Amino acid sequence: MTKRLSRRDFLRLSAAAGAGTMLSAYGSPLGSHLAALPALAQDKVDLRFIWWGGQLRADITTQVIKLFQAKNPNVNFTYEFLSFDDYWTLLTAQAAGDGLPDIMQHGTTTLAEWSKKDLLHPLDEYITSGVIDFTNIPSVLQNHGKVNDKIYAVSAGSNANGIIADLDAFERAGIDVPPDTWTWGDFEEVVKGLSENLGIWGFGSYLHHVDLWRIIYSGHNIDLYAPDGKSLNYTDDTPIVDHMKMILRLQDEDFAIPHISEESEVNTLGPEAQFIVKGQCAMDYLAGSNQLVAMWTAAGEDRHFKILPVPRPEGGRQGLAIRPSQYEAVTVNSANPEVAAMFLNFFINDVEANKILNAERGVPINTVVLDALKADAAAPQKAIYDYLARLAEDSAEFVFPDPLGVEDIRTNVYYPEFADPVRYGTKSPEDAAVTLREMSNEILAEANK
Amino acid sequence: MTSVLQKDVSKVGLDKRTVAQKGKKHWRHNNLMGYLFISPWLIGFLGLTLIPIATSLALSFTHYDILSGHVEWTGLENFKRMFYDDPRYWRAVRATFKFAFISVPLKLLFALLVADLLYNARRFVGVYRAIYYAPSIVGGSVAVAVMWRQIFSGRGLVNDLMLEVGLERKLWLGDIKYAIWTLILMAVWQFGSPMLIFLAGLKQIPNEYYEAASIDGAGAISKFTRITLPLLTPVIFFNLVMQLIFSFMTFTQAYVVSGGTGKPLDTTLFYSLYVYIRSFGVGANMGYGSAMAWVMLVVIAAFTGVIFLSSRFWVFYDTTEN
Repeated sequence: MTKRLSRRDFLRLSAAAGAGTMLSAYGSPLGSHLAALPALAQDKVDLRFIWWGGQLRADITTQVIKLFQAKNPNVNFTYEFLSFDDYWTLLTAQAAGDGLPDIMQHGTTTLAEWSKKDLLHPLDEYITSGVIDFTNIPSVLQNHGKVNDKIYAVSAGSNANGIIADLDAFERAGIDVPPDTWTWGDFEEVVKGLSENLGIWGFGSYLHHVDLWRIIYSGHNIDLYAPDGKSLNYTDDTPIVDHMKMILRLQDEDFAIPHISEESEVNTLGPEAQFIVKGQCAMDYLAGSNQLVAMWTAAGEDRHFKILPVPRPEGGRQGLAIRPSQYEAVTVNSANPEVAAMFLNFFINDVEANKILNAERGVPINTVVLDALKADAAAPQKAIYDYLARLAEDSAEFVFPDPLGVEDIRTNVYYPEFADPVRYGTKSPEDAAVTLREMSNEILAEANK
Repeated sequence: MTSVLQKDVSKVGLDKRTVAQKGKKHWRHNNLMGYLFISPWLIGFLGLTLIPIATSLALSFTHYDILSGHVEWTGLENFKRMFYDDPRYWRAVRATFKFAFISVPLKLLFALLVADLLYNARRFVGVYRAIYYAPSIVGGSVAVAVMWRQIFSGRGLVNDLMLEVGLERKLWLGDIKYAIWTLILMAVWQFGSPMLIFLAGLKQIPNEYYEAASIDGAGAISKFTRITLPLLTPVIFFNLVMQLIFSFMTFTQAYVVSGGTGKPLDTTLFYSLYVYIRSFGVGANMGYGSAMAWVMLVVIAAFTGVIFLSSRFWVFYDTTEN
């Protein structure tokens, strides 16, 4: 119903605008409202888009912006890209000064926080009016941007944490690539085996990554945060303590993973510097499956990689969830939220645009777009599609939104008070886990009063 | 003031009264012109210095979430949290003190040494002076810090040299024992400005003293310790105060070399970097950041005060010439 109405709207508007190109867009298989410029067709409109990411993302996003501009010559686009940390520093300052760009990128924890603080423009009206077309988007994925019953962002692609495995290294080591159902016990054996047989590290960096905290508890069927968001959902530190003890064994006794001081040098650097890319380790952590594209591109086409799910606890379940890799959202400071919404629609629904973006921000959420991309996918993309399809069969549910204060805990408690001191050996895993739990509970209680 | 003026002129008569009034007008006009001329500075001072400083003092008693713009008066909560509930704060204090108390004496020593060498040099003094001063000009910049990170990285220049002479590779930036020393070294390397001041100070010392000492049979070392050092104490005093203040406020180097995190394990988490992290980073609370900044101001003032108070015991002002 909505769709028919808006199509009629579209015809009328595009006829009024007298733009022939728009009609051809109408004929596309998506039959969407992509080029349906609202009444402001002739006015010059400014749009500003800022995102975080590396050079590859910058190149392809810029191309998509140019494509959008070619179809909408009245839009004057400016854009910037920054590293993840600089991005949040800049955008936080811009939020304070009411100077946010029209479109910005978000992660799951920040989206919840920024929506709740009224910094983002709800998109529901544009979804209803058809400016953002959700026809070919599975309803589960539509709601991934929903906070307090309003949709604040569209997912730029689906994603999951995972482990990147160098298949050539496994072959050289004569070790079988483990099945998706492997446990942390299996993991430790595989890492040691790879390291012994190859003389390189079995696993690279971030075996203490903050996401694993949640995944490990989820493997024991416990979501990390209490339903009311006022505390953590556990009092038993054993799972995370055991995990850190395994890391210390691998690091200090078996030398099968790099020492943290070695790791800390590369983990703020780009894909080219990563251990797996340089062949210094046989497996490495992927904070998002989409990162495989950048890693594989940096490593070279002649290499072979596969993404494995994170191991599960003995007798536990798969704790990973498929989630948005990131979101694109319209901010409250946007003077032209409707045009910004049009761009988001273009970003998720246009086949041509997505062929350029090529799953670098995660697997496209639009099923028609995904099918078109799958038809001629390159090796990295194929590996990602394959991984998410396997995971869809066996994974935990994506829990969203997170309570307030989560980002604070992840940055200001988890690493400086827990993971880093344990790996440097200045705190015992047991003591640090108590500190982690107590400080987290304090922050959650304070932030979700 | 007006009444005083009027009383004065009423005694001397009408003529002078008009003169005085004219003068007053003139005086007012002059002042106005004066203020007008300094107004760019005045506006800048008020808008960019005084008002922000006053605001930050007020903010230090609040919880100010810059994302939502929500300000809440919390009294002394920020200071309580800083001193009792924030282990990271004390690590920042520790890192800053360690940096300041090691780098400042080393830097001054080095600056004095080079200044003395340059003072005695006969040829190309200008060239040397420029060369040694150069690091101080570029020293605070991001580019140098980036270069520093490269030099000390796992596969950087320093490790190449270590391997070359048969030593083992060290992870300078990742190791909690070494990381801060790379920053101390960078600070010492930027000895240019205290060196120039020392050089100027050395030139102030009258040559006759040295000649007299030579006649009395003094050697180079006793000339340095008995003449140069005492007469240079005012300059040492000045350099010490300035460098200590600068080192307490070091930001860029730590930010770049540690990637903005103070890693490894907060050993390079300098105070101003932590202020920045808490003010602008995740969970940004400008109130807490302001409170920390004010504590830093008090601490710097205290240290400067102590140095000033102690100065009468060790700073020697040469008043005999007058």
